[in-house]
Amino acid sequence: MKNHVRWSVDIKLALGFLIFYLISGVIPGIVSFFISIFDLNREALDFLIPVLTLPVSLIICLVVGLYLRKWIAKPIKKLVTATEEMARGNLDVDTAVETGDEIESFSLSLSRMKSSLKIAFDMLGPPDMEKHSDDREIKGLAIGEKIVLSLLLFLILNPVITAIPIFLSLDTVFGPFIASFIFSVIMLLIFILYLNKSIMKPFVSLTEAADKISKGDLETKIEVKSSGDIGRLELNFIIISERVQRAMKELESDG
Amino acid sequence: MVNELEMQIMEEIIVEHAGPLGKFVIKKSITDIGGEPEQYNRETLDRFIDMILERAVYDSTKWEMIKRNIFAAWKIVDSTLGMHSQ
Repeated sequence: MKNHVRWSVDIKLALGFLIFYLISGVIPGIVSFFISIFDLNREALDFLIPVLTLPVSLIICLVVGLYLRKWIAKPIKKLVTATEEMARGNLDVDTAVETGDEIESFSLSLSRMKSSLKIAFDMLGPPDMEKHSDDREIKGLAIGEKIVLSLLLFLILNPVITAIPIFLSLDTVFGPFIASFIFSVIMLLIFILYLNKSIMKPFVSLTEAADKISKGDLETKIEVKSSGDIGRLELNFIIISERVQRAMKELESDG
Repeated sequence: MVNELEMQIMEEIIVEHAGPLGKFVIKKSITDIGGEPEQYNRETLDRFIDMILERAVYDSTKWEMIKRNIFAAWKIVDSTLGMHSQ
């Protein structure tokens, strides 16, 4: 499975957030520099800097959100749709994804399962679509929505959190500005860890299990532990692997 | 002509493309061809691999590449075992 991983998904996610953090951090400085060219008074500066910083930050948020959507959310969404189609019995669905990470590994596992279902179809005829043990509905936010919400929340909370040491005039050994920077970095790490725990960790575990199952280790079990897109992938993969397992038993009993 | 280790390697390559039922296709093809793979001559072996590929790999453009990979892997096994025996 690791052979297909060039850039791990969590590294892409962390990188996206880091770029966002660095750019949004320097925006107020850039805005202040350009405003200072016009030789404005202090009151005008106090008004213009936040007013101009916010839209620029929102644009950066949008750009990073689009980058994360293209590299993480969109391919996962494609796989969610593909697994749903496969679970419904459509085996002509396109499962190919080229991202060079765990998402591509999962798509390869899915492609193997699709081939096995086609073999079963050829040898046993169409599967009994009613025969699957789990028809629960998985709710929750899609990955793209989670990422964009996290970015927006970060954008709102970061200035508040970083302002705390300055506002309280925290008398640390580093002084309030360094303390503010440390607060900001800690917040960045908390966000990255949250996204890693809520999105990437369950997805990587699912990918590893799917890889084992698709290579014939049908004893490996997947449980629906997540909500949103990952939960849907878990459930659909369970339905698909149950179908393959049933076909295998039928073929073995037929001799 | 094909020993147990070579069969295992072929199984891994087929499963890599066809999933868990790839193993079943190999078993079924052995039954349909008759006899044991160890006794296949070159011609039967070719027919055997073609049958597996036709049944297990739906994208026919991949057949030649997979067949080449199987023979290449077998060649490596042969040369490694040959080196060990020397």
